[in-house]
Amino acid sequence: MLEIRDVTQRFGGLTALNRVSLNVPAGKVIGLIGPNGAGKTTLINAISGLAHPTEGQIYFGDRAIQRMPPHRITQLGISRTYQNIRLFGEMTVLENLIVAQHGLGRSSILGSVLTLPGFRAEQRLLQQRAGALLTQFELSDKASQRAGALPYGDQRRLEMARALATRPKLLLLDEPTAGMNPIETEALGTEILELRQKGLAVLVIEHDMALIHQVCDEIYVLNFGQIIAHGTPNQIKNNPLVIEAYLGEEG
Amino acid sequence: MLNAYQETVFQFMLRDALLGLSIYLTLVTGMFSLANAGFLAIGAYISAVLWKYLGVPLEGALVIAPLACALIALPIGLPVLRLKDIYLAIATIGFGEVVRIMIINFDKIAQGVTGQPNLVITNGGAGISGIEKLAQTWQLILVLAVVAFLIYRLHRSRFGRAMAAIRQDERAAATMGINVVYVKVMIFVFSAALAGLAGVFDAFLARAIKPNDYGFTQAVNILAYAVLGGTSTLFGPIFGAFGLRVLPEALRFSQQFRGVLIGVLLLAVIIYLPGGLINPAAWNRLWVRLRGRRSGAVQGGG
Repeated sequence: MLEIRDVTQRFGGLTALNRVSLNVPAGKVIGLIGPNGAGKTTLINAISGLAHPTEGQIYFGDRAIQRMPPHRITQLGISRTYQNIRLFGEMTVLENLIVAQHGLGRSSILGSVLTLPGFRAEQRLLQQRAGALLTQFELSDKASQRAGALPYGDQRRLEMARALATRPKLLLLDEPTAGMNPIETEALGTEILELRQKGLAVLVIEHDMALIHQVCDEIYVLNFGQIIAHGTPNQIKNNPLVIEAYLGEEG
Repeated sequence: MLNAYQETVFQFMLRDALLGLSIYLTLVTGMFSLANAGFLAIGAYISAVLWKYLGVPLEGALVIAPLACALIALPIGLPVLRLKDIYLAIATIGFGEVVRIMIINFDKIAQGVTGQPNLVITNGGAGISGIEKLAQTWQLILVLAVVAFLIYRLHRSRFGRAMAAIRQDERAAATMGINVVYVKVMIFVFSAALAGLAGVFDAFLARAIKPNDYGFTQAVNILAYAVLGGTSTLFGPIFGAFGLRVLPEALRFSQQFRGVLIGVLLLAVIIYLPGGLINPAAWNRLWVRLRGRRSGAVQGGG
C-alpha cells in the first residue's frame, strides 16, 4: 500500500534520511523505532507532504506522491497525528472533527456562501460523521468544549479522532503515547488493533516497546537516517545492531 | 435628519467599514496583509478615470473596479502569500508603494507608449479632481449589508472553518486536507475586490483623489480599524472603522491634541483589550481582573 523507495532527505549539509526504503502493506501495523534524532519524524513529514524528499520515490498504491502537496496526500487517504499535539485550539472538539473533513466536502466557495441545496445535505453528513467519532473516542460529552482547554489525554484522543475524520486508508502516528500513563497506553494499543481490524494500515513511531510488541506486525529500526534493521518484533528484540543503537556498544 | 456635514461623515464611516471588512478577511485567515490601501487606490482611480473620460457611472464602476482589483490580486497573491507575519506585511506595504508611485508616473508611461506628449490620465501627484459626488447613502448601506451578509455565510461554510484552521495552525490544516494556498489566495482576492469596492465609493464621495491619500498612513489606518474593533466577529472592524471616523470629528474641540487622544485610546485598547472592543471573552476577563483587584485590595486593607 505504502512503498518508500530509497528516500533521501537533506537539509543543507545535513542528511536526515539516507536511502530509506520501507513498506506498509494494507491492513498491517508497522512500527518505526529508533533513538531521538534518527529521522523518524522527518520520514513521516516526507510521507505526508510537509517536506518533499531530496531523492527517492514514495508510492501510495500505484501513485507517486513525493511531490504532492499535503492536502492532496490527505485526500488520497493518508492521515497523521503529531508528536507535539497540533489541534485547532480555539475551536471546539466538534469543530475540529468537522474541519478535518474539509477535503471530503464538495461544495464550492460560492455554493456554500449562497447556501445551495447540496450544501445543507453535506453539512448534515459532516455532523453525523463527527458525532460517530465523538462516540468512538468517548468525547461526546466534551463536544462543545474548546479543544485547547481539554486535558492532555483527551487532546491525544481528539487528535487521533481528527486524523480518522479525514477517512484515511493509512494512518501515521507520531509518538501517540507521549505523556500517557501505562493504562492509557494500553488502551491506545487496543484502539490501534481495532483500527487494523477495520482494514486500516498504520505506521506508528513509538518509544514504548510494550506498545510496539502489542500492536506491530513488523518493525523498522532507524538510526542516523538509515534503516539498520527490519523484522518481526521478536527478531528485532534480539538484534545486536538494535541493542547497540539504543544502549551503545558494550564496554 | 442628518445635516449635510453629518451625512458626509456617515458616508465615509460606511466606506471605512468596507475597508475594515477587507482587512478582516485576510486577518482571520492568518494573513497579515497591508495591501488594502493599494487596492483602494486602484479602485478609486479606475472609477475616476472611467467616469471622467468614458462617462461610466458609479453603478458600472461597482462592477468593473472590484473585478480589476481581483484580477490584479491573483498574480500578486500567489508569490507574496508564501510569506508570513511581518514579512508579508512588509511585502504588501511594498505593493501599496508600487501602486502609489505607478499612479504618479502613469501619464509619463502612457505618453511614451502612445507617443502623445500631452496625454493626461491620472494627472500625477496632483490627482483627479472635479468628480461628481454620485455615491448615495442608501447604496453604501446596501453594499455594506450585502458584503457583511456574504462574509457571515462564508464563516459558516466549510471555507470559513478552513480559514480559521489556517490561522490557528497552517501545517495541521494542510494535513487535514485543506488546500492552504487556494484558500489563502482566494481570500486575498476577495479582500482586494472589497477594497476596490470601497475605492469606488471613495472616488464618488471625495470628488478629488490624489495618490498620497493611499500611502502607508492609509494602510495603517485600515489596520487600526481591526485593532480597535477586534477580529473575533465581523462587527469588530465595522465598529472600529465607525469609531475611528467619528472620533476625530467628535474630538475637533481638542484641536492639536486630537491625534494624541486617539493614540492613547488605541494604546489602552491594545493593553487592556488586546482582542479589540468587540470581544465578549476579553471584556469578561477584564471584568474578572478588575473585580479581583478590588476584592484583593479590600482583603489587603482588612
